[in-house]
Amino acid sequence: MSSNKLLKGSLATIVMRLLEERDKMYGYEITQKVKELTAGEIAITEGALYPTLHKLEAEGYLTTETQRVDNRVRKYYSLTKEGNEQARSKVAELEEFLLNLQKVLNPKPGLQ
Amino acid sequence: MTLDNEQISHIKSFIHSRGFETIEVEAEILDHVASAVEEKLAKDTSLNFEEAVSLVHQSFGVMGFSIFEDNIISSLGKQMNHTYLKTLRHTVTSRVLIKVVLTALFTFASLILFANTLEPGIFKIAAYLLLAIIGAIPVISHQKLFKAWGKKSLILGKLLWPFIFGSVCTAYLVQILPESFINTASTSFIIVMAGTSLLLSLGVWTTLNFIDEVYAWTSEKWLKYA
Repeated sequence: MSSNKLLKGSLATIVMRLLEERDKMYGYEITQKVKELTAGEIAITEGALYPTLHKLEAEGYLTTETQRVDNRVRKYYSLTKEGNEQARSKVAELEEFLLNLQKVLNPKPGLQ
Repeated sequence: MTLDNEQISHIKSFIHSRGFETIEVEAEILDHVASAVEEKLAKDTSLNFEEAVSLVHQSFGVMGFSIFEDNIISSLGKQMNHTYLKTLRHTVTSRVLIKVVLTALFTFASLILFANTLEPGIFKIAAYLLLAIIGAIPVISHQKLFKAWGKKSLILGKLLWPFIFGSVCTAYLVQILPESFINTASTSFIIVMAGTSLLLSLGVWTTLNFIDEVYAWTSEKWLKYA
C-alpha cells in the first residue's frame, strides 16, 4: 500500500482530476474509483477524503447537489468553473513535480 | 445489492446514537456508510448486515463519524460568511436600502424622543429595550422556521445564530454610554444615536434577507428530503 503521507499532499489534485473526467461524483464513488484505477494500491480513507472535499467546496472549487437515490439522499460533487481551471493547473504542477522527483530518484550518471 | 428501508433506518438510528442527528450531517454519513455496507455485503455473502455496519464504522478510525461533522461545520461556516457578505452588499446596493434608511430614521427619532423625555437612567433601559426588540425582528419573523427546523438542521439550529446575535448586540452599545453623555444638545450624542440606528437597521435588514436565502438554500439541498 502507498504511504498516506505521500498521498496527503496530492489528494486535492487527485479529487479534482477525477471530477474533471466525470460530470459529478459522490464521496464513496471517489474512494472506489481511486482504488479501481490503482488496483487497490491507493486507498483513500474517509478521514482524508471528506476534509478535502469540504475544503475544496469552501474554497469555491467544488459545488454540490443532492439527489434522492434509492432510499437515501446522495450528495454529488462537481467542479465549478474556477475548479476546472484550478484542476488543470494543479495536475500540471503535480506532473512537473513527479518528473523532477524522478530526476532526483534516478539521476543520470554525470559525464566524466 | 441495495439496502432496504428497514436497513437504512437501522443505519440512521446507529448514526443518531453516535450523536449525529442533524439532517446535513446524517445524510452525508448515511450515504457513505450505506454504500460501503452494500459493497461489503455484495463481496462477502457470509457477512450479515450488522457485521457489515460494524466493519464500516470501524474503518472510520478513532475519530469515527465526527470527521464528517467537523468538516461540514467548517465548510458551511465559510459558505455562510460568503453569503452574508453577498447579502450585505445587496442590502446597500438595492431598494432594500430605502427600508434600511426608514427603519434607521424611526429608531433614531424614537431614541431622541426618549432622550428628551426620560431621565438618563430610564433612557438607557428604554433605549436598550427598543434596540433589542428591533434587533430581534429577524428571529421573531422567522419563529415558525426555527421551531420547525432548529433541532433538525445544523445550519438553521446552530450556524445561523452568530449572524443573528450581531443585530441584537447593537442594543448593548447604549449600555456603555455614561449618563452624562445623554444630552440631545450634544452633537456627539446625536452622531452616536444616528450611527447606532443605522448600524442596527442595516444589520436587521441584512439578517432578514440572509435567513431567507440560507433557508432557501438549505431547503433545496437538505430539508425537502426530511
